[in-house]
Amino acid sequence: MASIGLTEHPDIQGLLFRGYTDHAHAGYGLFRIRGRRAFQAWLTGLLDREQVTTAESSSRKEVADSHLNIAFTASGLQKLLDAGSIADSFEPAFIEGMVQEHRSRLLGDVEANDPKAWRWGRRQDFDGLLMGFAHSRQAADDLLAAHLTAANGADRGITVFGHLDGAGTESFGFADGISQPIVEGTKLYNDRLHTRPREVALHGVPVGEVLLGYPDGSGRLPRSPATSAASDPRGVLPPHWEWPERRDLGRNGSFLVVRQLAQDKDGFWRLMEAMAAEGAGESAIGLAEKMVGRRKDGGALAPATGAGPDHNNLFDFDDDRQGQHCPLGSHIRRSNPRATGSDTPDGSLNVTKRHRMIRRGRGYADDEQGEVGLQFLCFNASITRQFEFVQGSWCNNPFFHGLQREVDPIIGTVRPAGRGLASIDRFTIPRAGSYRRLLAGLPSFVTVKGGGYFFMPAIAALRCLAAAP
Amino acid sequence: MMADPVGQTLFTVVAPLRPGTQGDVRDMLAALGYLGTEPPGGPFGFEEAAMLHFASVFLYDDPVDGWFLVFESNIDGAVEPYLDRLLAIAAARDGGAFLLRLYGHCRGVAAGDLPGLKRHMLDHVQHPQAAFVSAVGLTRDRIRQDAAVYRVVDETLGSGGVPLPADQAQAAVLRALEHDRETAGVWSVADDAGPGALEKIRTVGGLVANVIGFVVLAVVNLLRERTAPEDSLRSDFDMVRTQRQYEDILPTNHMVSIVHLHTDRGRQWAKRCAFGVLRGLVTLFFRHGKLGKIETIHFAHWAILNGGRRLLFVSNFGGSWSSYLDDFTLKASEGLTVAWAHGIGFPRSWFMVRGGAAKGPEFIDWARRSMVPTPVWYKAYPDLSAKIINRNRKLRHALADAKAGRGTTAWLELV
Repeated sequence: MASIGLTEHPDIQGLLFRGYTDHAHAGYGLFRIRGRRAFQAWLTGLLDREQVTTAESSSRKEVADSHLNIAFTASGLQKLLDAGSIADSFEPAFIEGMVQEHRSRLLGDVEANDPKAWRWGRRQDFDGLLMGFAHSRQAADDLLAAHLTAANGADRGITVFGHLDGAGTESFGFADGISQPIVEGTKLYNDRLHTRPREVALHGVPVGEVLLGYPDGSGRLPRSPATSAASDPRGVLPPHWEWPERRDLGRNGSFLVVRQLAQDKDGFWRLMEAMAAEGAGESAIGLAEKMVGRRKDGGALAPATGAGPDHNNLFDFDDDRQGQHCPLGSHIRRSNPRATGSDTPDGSLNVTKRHRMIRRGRGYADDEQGEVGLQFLCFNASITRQFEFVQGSWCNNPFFHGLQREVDPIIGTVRPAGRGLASIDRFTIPRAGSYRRLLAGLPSFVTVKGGGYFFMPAIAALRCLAAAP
Repeated sequence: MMADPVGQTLFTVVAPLRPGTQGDVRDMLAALGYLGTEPPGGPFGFEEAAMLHFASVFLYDDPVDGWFLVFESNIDGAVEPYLDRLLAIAAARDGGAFLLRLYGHCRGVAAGDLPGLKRHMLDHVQHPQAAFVSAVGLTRDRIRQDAAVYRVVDETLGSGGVPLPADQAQAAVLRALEHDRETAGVWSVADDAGPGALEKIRTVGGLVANVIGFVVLAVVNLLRERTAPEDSLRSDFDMVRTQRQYEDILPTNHMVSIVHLHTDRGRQWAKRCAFGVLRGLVTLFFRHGKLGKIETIHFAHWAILNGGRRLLFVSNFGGSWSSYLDDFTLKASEGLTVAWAHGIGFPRSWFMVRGGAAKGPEFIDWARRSMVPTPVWYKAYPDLSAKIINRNRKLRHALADAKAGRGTTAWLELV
């Protein structure tokens, strides 16, 4: 690893490695670039004043007033790079954006989640996302308002807000954000390698799984977007490893997926109560825990692991292959099946690790809409191989792990019968010494309200974007 | 009643089109709306062909030989009775007008001549070099009946809020199976026994010979293998979009790939041996639902076409294309490299085993570029995955044992 620690690297935007937990409020401001030159001048100023939070600046002891990070869509990069934009060097998912007919089928953005009903992102008509983190919602809003102005070449679009509640719970009341990949080469990784080797074995991923420019789980460099040398006259970018005549726009950057997920908290708990009443000795919380795949306090359902932060993520499901502790179709199992796949436990774990991502979500409460939910954000090196795979091939795949007629009971999309398929609206809870408990006719408790695909460039790449001729 | 001891047959009919007709054929196929299931009143009448598991119809444009119309079928039993059945269905529907119009675009098919069409199709049958079947020995009807067994069990157990004791649950299920319209009297029969001893000995002999040939040719061809140009193009967005309009309609998908092969004799023989090895492995070992570590494929096969210049791969698999290719690169890259090494542009391999398909992004792009869209695709049991079919078979066996007074109630955990 380089002499500069990754988590203190001045070239990497801070949000990748830090959730800014000292800043409880976040504003996510969508924008369009109206005046390219004015926008570039503003971005240059931002960089000169070191106002974009980096891994380095966010590692300092003193707490900053606020943090700012920025990411762009394909159209934003195209506008800034102009002739130097090379669409082919990105994966198609990023270029096409989150809303596209086939992609909607794959992601479960159909029925109640159809983009036609989204509050934002339906037409993917934005160029970027400015993310402001502050101590109050008003401060986050003010921060975005100060930057996203016509004078700065930006049209401010919709802003959505997120907050951390201090207890680390999501809107259904479950402890959240427990399982994150541990990135090789970080201080956390090196510490845990000695103190908790089991945790590293389960959650350690090569840098290139979440950050471009470093080897990924295949031992090779992940594909990285390129720009022409002419777009980088000052030579701030390194040469591209795949096309030596081009510049590497991706190094130290990462793809960012954003989805606003409304959670029907009342409906969820009402139904849990009703279903608990039909059963013998089941509680509403017990059923909800089976659907999530964790205890409400974050503890594991898997056997032989204790509660508490030192123990609640040390399981691999290999001792629970039938799902009698943690159901096969539960949310945490579908989004991270760990060592259970069609391969050996070690082989399956390695396959699973090619689909991990860093999550940076925050809850939200929208009083106007009377709505609570999650602003889901995640970073990955490949939207297709990581986010879309987890969402499409695991969470929304009715055939996952040999199951039938069910999708992820928390984030999956319930579907009516059609095209020779029965309705997809069930959840199976395997039980030891008996047969399964079946929850049938379930509604969706989570509804997508918006979303988009972004690229969060490194500081050097922002410099290039700010100065592209 | 005993299960018919039939094997499954996987094949294609590859018929050259008359020049200039491909646009008409494409429009004709695209208008039909066969995306996994048969639309009401669909002109092929696949649903009435009781031996048919999966079928697809697609076009491909060969730069040397021109356009071809390809008709893939995965059936119980032999080719000819199936074609007879298809033509009989067509004759009953519209006097064969639709099929004759479709095949009227092919070279050598005379107007209005259904018997002639059958001869034409038989003449253009391509049998696979190697083929994989997940549910070996299960007929289409057996798969549907097993699904009915599962349905009856599922309905009888209900929500299970207050579970019955295991023996009571078992008794209730056995009773329900004898009364359900779909399962009564037909559900508990044995399967086909699998290959006999003589077939096994023959297969082992063939496998050994092919392994020797494969190893020798892998060494002989090594220099050519290591110096063949490798194709690092990215997939064309437009092409991918066209292909994906037919994908993920069902949780099962279809893939057609047509790869150009190197045609020198050394590599051609190497390909023959490679498929000989795969054929032997599939016949002897991959008979229980898994192709190596992949457990999502229903039917798949490879066929060498156009005098050895092209390699066709067709697959009917569970999940999305990207998850399938992920399985390929992460869990089965060696097997895929055996099959696809010496394809033109294939990511560079070693001894037809290492490298190649293990190079994820390059292999995935290469595979995408080799694909043609499938405008007509039929699956006889859209609600079932390969894994569910095998689970249902186990469930039936266990319940048949229970009916006979053997076994335990452990089957309850299968549901």
